[in-house]
Amino acid sequence: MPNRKANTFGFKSVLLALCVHAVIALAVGVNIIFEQVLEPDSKSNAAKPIQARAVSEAEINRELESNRRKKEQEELKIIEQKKQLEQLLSKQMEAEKQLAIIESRRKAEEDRRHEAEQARLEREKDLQDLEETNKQQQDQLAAIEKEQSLLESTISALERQRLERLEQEKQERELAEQRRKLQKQQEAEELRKLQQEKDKLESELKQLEKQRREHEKSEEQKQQLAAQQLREQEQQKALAAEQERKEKEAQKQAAMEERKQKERAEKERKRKAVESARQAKLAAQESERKKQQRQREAKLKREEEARQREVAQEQRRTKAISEFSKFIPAIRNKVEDKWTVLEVAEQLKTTVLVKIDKSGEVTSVTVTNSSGSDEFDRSVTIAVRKASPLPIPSSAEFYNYIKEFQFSFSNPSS
Amino acid sequence: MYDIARKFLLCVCLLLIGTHANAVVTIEIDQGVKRGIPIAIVPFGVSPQIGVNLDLDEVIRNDLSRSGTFDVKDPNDYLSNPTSYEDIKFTDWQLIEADYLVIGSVEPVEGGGYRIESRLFDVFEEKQIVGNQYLVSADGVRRTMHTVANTIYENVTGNKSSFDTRIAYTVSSISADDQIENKLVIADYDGHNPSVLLKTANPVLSPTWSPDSEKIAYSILGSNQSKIWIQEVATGNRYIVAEFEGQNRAPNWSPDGSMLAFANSRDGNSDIFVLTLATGELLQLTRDRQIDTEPAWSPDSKHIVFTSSRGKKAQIYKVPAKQGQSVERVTFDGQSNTRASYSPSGEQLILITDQGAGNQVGIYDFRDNSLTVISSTSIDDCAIFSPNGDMLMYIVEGSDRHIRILSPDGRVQTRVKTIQGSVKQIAWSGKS
Repeated sequence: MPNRKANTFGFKSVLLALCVHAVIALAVGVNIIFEQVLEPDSKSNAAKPIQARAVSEAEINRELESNRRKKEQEELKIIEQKKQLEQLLSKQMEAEKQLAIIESRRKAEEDRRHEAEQARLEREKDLQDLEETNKQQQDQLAAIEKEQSLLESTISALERQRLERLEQEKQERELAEQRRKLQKQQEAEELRKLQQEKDKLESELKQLEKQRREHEKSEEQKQQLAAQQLREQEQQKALAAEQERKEKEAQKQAAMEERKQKERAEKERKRKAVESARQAKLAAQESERKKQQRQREAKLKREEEARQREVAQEQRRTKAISEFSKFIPAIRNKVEDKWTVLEVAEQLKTTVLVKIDKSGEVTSVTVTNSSGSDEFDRSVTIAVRKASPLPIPSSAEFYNYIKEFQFSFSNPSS
Repeated sequence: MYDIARKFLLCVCLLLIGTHANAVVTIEIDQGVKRGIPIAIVPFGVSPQIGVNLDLDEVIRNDLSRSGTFDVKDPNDYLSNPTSYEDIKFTDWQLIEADYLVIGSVEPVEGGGYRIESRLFDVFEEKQIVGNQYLVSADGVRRTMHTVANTIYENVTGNKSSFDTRIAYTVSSISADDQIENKLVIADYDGHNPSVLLKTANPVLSPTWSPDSEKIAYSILGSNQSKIWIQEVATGNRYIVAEFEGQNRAPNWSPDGSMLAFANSRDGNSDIFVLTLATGELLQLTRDRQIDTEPAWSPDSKHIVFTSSRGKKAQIYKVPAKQGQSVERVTFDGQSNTRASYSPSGEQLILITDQGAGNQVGIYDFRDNSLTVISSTSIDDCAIFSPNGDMLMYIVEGSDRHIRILSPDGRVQTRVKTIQGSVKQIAWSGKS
C-alpha cells in the first residue's frame, strides 16, 4: 500500500516534473495549472499521520474508501492534467505550425531574395555578354588589322614585281643601247670603208691625173678623166645621200625611243597615282571604321554614364520628394487656413503652379488649370500667397529637386 | 545581345523621362475657411471744395458687411490711406491680411455734379482687378456708392449683389391731426433715399414688386371689401385689378410678370387664386373649408406655396400653379409656420416660424426637408430673401417695429432706416 502510494507518488512526481518542464518550455498562463496540481498534493501529505493512527476496520474501510476516492480523484486530476498537457502540446504544435508558416514565409522571402540575386546575376551576365560582344568586336578589329597587314604585304609584293619589271626594262634599254652602238660602229665602219674607197678613188684619181698629165695630150684621156670625174662626183653624191639617209634613220630611231620612254614613264606615273589613291582610300576606310568604333564605344559609355547619373539623380529626387511629403500636411494646413472659400453653386477646380525660394517664400503663383471662374481662381492665388512662406525641409539638397509644385484646389462640396 | 541591351537602356531612359514629365508634386486642397472675405476700403479722397463729409466709403463698407460675405477691415487699423494707385504700398495691406483693397475719390465737376472713381485691387498679386468712373448728380452720389459696392461684390465673388436694389414697405403712423396714416414707401435697400408712393387712411397690405421693378401691387383694406391695386412707380398712376366678391388680399407677382396669385374669400373662407393680368382670367387653385392665404410663386413659376389652417395649425402647403392639382403639405415642425416665400434658387423657403418661443425667422430647405431658425429675436414678422439670396430682410415686431437685414448665415444683422411709423410689410425689388 505505501509502496503503491510511493509509486503513485513517484509517478506523480515524474508527471509533476514533466508538467514543470512543459510549463517552463511553453510558458504563459501555465502558472494556474501548476497551482492546481500542487494544492491537493500537499493535502494528501498532511493526511498521512491520521492514517497511521486508524484502528477500526470500518475506519480503515472508510479510510480505504476515502483513499480510493482520493486516488480516483487524483487519477481524474491526472487525466485532467494529461488533457491540459495535451492542450498545451496542441498549443505548442499550433505554435510550431505557426513557426513553420513563418519559416515557410522566411523561406519564400529567401527564395524571393534568391530570385532577386539570380536576376542580379543575370544582369551581370548581360553585362558580361556586353563585354563579350565588345571583345568580339575587338577580335574583328584584330582580324581586320591582320587583313590589313596581308594587304600591305601584297602591296609590297606588287611593288617588288614592279621593281623587277623596271629592272628588266632597264636591261632591255641597255641592250638596245648596245645594239645602237653596234649599228653606229657598223655605220662608222662603212663610212671608213667608203672613206677608204674614196681615198683609193682619189689615189686612183691622182694616178689618173698623173696619167692625164702623162697623157695630157690625149683628149680621150681627157674625156675619160672628165667621165671619171663625173662618176666620182655622182659617187660622192650617192655617198652623201646614203649618209644623210642613215643619219635621218638614226634620228627617227632616237625620237621613237624617246617617245616610248615617255609613254612608259607616263604609264608608271599613272600606275603610281592609282596605287597611292587606292592606298589612301584604304587608309581612309580604316580610319573611318576606327572612328566609328570609337564613337560607338564612346556613345555606349556616355549612355551608361547618363543612365547612372539619371538613376542617382532619380534616387536623390525621390528622397527629396519623400522628405518633402512629410511637410505636405503642414503646407496643406497653412494654405487651407488662408483660403477663404467662396460660396459657389457648382463644383470648381483650379490648379496653380507655385515656385518657392530656399526659405519657402512663394515667388510666383501661376494658374495652370483655371476653374473657369476668375473669382475662384483669385481666391486660390491669394490663399497661396498669403500662406507664404510655406513650411519646407531646411536641407539645401531638397531645394535642388523641389523648386516648384502644384496645388489643386477644389471647393468643399457643401 | 547588344541590341537587346540597347533597347533595355532606351526603355530605362524613356521611363525616366516619363516619370520626369509628371514629376511635379501636386497637393490637393479641398478645405478652406468659410468666413468673410477680408477687404479694406480706404476712405475716399474727397475734394475740399465739397466741404461736407459725405462718408461715402462707409456706404460701401456697410453694404459689404451686411451681406456677411465680406469681412471689412476697420479703417482705424489701416497703416496708410492712399487715394491713388501711386500711393498704394501693398505690403501695408498684406500686413493686415486684407485680400482686397478699394480706393476711390469724389470730385466736383464743372457745371455741377460729381466724378466718382473707384478701384479694386488684389493685394497679394499687387494688381488692379477693376476700376470705374461715374459722373453723377449730387443726389445720385450715395446710390452710386451702392453701385461701386456691387461692382466689388461681383468681381470678388462672381455673383451679383443686391446693393443697388430697392425695397418697398408699408408703414402706419399718427398724423399731426391725430388721424391714422398708412403709407407705401420705396427706398434703397438700406433704407436711404425713401420716397412715399401712396398715402391713405386705409391700411395698405402685402406690397409686391413686378419682376421688372416698374410696378407695385398691394391690397387696400376697405371698410367692407379689400381690393388689389397696381401702381406704377415712375408715374404714381394706380388702378384696381381685383375686386372680386369677398376679400381680395395678399397679391404675389408671378416671376414672368403676367399673373398675380392672391387670396380671395368669395366662398366664405379664403382660397388661393391666380389672375392673368392681360385677360382677367381667374383660376382657383385651392378649395377647402379652412383659410388658405399668403401665396408665393416658386422661381420657376411651377408651384405656389401658401399658408393654410387646414391642419388646425397654420402650416405651409404647396400646390402646382394649374387648376385641379392636389395640395402637398410642406412644413410639419413647430406651433405654426406662415408667410413663406421662395429663395431665388427655389431650394429654400423663408418663413415665420413659431417653435414655442414666439415668431422667428426660419429657413426651410427642400433638399433635406429641414427647418432652421436663424433670427435671434423672438418677435419677427414678414421675412424675405434679397433678389439674389445674399441677404435676408425681416421686420422685428413689438413697440419699435423696424426692418433688419440679416446675412444668410445669421452672423451679421443691421437695422434699416425707415421713415417714421410702424413698419407693416416689406417687399424687395429684383432690380434697382
